[in-house]
Amino acid sequence: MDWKPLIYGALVGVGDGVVDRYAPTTGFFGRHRGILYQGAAFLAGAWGELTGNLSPDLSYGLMVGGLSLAMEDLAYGGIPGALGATAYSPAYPPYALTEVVTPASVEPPAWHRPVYIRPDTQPATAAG
Amino acid sequence: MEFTPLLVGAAVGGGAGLVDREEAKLAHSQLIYRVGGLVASLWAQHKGIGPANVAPAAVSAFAANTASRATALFLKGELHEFGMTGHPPRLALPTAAGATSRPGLASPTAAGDVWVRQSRTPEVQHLTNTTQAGMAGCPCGQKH
Repeated sequence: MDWKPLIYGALVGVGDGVVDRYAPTTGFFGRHRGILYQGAAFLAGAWGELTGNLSPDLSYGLMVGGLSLAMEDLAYGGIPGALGATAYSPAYPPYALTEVVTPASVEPPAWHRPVYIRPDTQPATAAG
Repeated sequence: MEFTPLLVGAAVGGGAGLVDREEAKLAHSQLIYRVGGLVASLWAQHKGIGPANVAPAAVSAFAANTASRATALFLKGELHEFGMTGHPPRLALPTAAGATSRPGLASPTAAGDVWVRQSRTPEVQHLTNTTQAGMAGCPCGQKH
């Protein structure tokens, strides 16, 4: 059993998750950190494959992992998703606002994926 | 350079994104697709099923997608949501519309601010706060 494809693919994925969590979210590099990481992984693999400086397993692990993660974002959110647009963007039809609640305290409710919206930018139906 | 592994990786990743879009229709579809695909591709690689470079590429792709989601959720203390959420929180970024990111990351909160829940199903907006519903009216057509 050759475990290298699993290990290399998982490494690319773990790196993507770390970037997702810890990389800055503002500025050009923050907004596009996903595709930048994925593109870097792909290009590193392509470079290794073309120059022979990396093993074929590692090269294709990087290329396949980076490309696969980028395609995931592309399939989910289209071009804006692949480039790092936001969940609140209208470009994400799977996400629709369904509940608006003013919390009694400043603690956020224990919901899935709540998004904080300032009163002056909330949807018109919730503006009161 | 062989392009078959790249096509396999793109197909696996595209499938993951499409599954996320349709996630509301099948609970734990992420878990089924990613982990199931990983196990299946590992089995195919172990058994030598299919062209020599297809199964390893599928293993790498499924491993990358599974590890990415699991890592991001784990680091945010939300690993229990694996298989349930629609997409990595990467998409919950500051927006031009003024929304900030997830709580605890960059969201200063204050009393009176509004939290909006995003659903994976595009349903009509539904106001659950009676004060707001009374003032603005709920778009679902009912009074609360």
